[in-house]
Amino acid sequence: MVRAVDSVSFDVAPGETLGLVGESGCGKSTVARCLVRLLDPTGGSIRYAGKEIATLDPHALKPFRRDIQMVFQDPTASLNPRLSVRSMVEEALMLHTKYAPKERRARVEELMHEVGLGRDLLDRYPHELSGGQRQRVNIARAIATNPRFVVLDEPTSALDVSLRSRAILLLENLREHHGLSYLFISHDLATVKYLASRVAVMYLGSIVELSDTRDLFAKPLHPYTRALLAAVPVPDPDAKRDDFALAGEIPSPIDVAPGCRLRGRCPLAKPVCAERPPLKEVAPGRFVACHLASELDA
Amino acid sequence: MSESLFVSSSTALTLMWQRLKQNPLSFAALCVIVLIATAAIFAPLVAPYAPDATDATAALESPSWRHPLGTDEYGRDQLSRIIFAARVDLVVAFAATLIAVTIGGLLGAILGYSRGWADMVAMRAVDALMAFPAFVLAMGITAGLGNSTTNVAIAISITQIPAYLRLTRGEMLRLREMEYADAARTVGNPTWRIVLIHLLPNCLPPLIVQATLATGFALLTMASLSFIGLGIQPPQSEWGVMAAEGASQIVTGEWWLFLFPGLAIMISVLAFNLVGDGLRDLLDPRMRGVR
Amino acid sequence: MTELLNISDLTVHFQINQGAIEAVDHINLTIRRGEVLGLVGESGSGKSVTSFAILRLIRPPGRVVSGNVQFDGVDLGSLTEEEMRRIRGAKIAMVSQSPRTALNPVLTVGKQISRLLMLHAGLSAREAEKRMLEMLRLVRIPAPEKRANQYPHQLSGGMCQRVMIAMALATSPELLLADEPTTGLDVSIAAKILDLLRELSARTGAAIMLVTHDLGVVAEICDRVAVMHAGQVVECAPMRELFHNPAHPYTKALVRSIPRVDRDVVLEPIPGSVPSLVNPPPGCRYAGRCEWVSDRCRVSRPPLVEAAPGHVVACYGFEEHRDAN
Repeated sequence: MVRAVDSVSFDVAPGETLGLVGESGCGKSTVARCLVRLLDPTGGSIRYAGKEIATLDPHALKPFRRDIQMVFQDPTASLNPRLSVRSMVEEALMLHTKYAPKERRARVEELMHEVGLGRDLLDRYPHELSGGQRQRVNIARAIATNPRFVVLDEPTSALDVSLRSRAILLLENLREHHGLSYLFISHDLATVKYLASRVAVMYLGSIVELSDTRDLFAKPLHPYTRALLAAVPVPDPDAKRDDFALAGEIPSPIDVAPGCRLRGRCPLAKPVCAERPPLKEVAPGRFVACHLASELDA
Repeated sequence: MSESLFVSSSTALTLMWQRLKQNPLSFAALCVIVLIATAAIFAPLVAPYAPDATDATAALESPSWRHPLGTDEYGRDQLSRIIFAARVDLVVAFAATLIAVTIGGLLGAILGYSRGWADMVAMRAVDALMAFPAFVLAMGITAGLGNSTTNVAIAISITQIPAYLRLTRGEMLRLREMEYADAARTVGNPTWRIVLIHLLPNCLPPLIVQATLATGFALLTMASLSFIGLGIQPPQSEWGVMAAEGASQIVTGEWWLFLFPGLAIMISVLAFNLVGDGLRDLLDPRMRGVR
Repeated sequence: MTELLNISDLTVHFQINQGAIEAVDHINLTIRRGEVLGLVGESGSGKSVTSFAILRLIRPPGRVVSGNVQFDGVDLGSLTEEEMRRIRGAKIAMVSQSPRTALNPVLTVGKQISRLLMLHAGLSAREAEKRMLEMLRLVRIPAPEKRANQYPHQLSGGMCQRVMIAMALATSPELLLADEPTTGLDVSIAAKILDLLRELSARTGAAIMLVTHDLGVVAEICDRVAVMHAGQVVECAPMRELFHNPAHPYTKALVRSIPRVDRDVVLEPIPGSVPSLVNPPPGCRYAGRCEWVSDRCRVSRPPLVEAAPGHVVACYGFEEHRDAN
């Protein structure tokens, strides 16, 4: 058995964007799929507005589907090639609202306008759209029922540079207008920095650092966060660079040693790291899972 | 949203049609099928004589201007009989295919999507059914049900259900993992909508290819059943029946009575196979090329 | 530094039903020995087509309409297919974006590299094996003896990319075409691959043409940068000069359109989209997206002129807006 995600805890406040970052295989997509109940977590609890949803059966889950939505990573694969844009956007309304067909149609057009797509695209099929348009259709579908919470699983990573910045602005705009909460999952730290107010960093299935975005980028406390930040190429040849790096590559989650999961790769590792560090609050709202965090902060 | 189901499968068909036009052999074969079907539909207008009109003065005539494909021992015109026979042959072949596609496709979709113990049991049953010679099975079923036209169609469709079931199930196993299936679940679709509206239409292209090839095979199976006396019964005009009647006359030199019904069977089956092959070639690299 | 590769007036079209896609339009580029040249732009800007054109790998419906490519003083267009094959892989090597699909899935990675060595460098099986292990060590693959006996699917994406680089460098090429070598890799792996490329270039003296859309990658390892937009080179400058004094409005817009980790920015997406390259209008192809556009830009294509020593730009308006950043 692989523990893809191990004892991960976080909360998202109304209207907030929480960034979830980490490299491939760290379990961030698994977390996303559990939140929208595409996967059933083995243990633990997921509470939405105070109600437990981790254990609800599909029928009882239906009202929550309206409030919790997801935008998927691959804008092409997440659209059904045989359904028109209209039927995909309209579907959520049909399933969750009692709108008359005419009201539904009006709402679909309003949604298209909101995500910046023309009405003329409604009767097109996914293969007739560009990559950027496809991702907008995905976003329109996700916000159709006026959800409160949207999980964004790498929504910008498949987009080209110029489209990416527009998608980022669109998401930010929608959040402000509708008071949405986002869980923004990405490996692109620059985008997370732009969108998120708080950031959780995952490594091998666990959160290693959770902090206010500004603090995290100004001074990463966990060695993994620090290495991740140091590795991001910066479009400024004169930028001061931190040359902190970890040894080797991410091990397979099947054979992790006991103790701190970063131990084998961390240049700062000490004997104490043989014991698994808990995620503890080192400053108000700032959590780090590292025995050496207080030293690093100094 | 039944209309979107309709629209989307019709776009797939338009696409197939456009590509089929670029493949001359398959296109010609399609024209042959359309020609035979048209002749069958308008048989009373097209056929020079009634199929059962006997004429004692013109028995066993070899092909001539009056009877282009000759006549049989009762003086019935062979051409007219072959044209009328096309009605039975095509209707049974299409009906058998339609029944088999519907049942096999739906069952396969449900089993592939659910992947439960029912799927395990059903697939072993399918394996057993497929290991049994299809023709012998059809013979057994018609023998058991009695040989009306409807029963022949049912017998043939039962032999073909496993192929569609397995095909759709395989596609479904793949499609249920697609990101758009996840998207459909997240939006809150009930399972039946995910299977019927979201995933099944995506199984259609390979199903259509299989159905085209199988229609030819259904036709062949029926003619064979009739040939050995288990299918359609004389005096009704049916190609297999006619070929069986003609076969006994070969020794006495009336070759046309066997040759022309046989040719009708061969040409129709070949036409279905060529169209099916053409469709398969077009769809093989999936329809990605046009996206 | 002397010139290694000289592309002049290169034009590549792709014929489709509606006309010709003018994917690369009369571009001029030089790569000097030992330098790392970055080729930057959005998708559809013609970056990858350019690198395929260098290797003469444009296949129908694509067609090289004009221009020539001089490599080490030889006009590549004049070579026979056989001679060209000897240049590909041996003197000009390529590292692609998807290392996993570029490797043969049924051969161990060690075999793939040693076969290449036997083919191009004429080494014996034993020598090739020895050199193969050296190459794996060179690209920092841990436990090379073990890895050599593994198949591509047993390696991570980063490891596969290292193997690709080892293969590319096995024959000591003078030019390495790296097409988005770090796209799709995790940040920390990508950083290591970039370090590796820079270091290997310095050590072997190979020049690198790095195709990328990521300005961060450019700042990380390039010596010079050419910016492409809609099949044309709009600006080319030494790397620092480009970041400090970008002259073309597209370059400036590109820099402003990306979120960054090193500072707080206000995102400004590049206006409009890459214009259709089927029968594009005459004049500057950026005119439809440009804030400085004037009548002249719409009728004639601005030539590349020198903005500073070694820094060329194709824009009629840049003088006027030189200090308005």
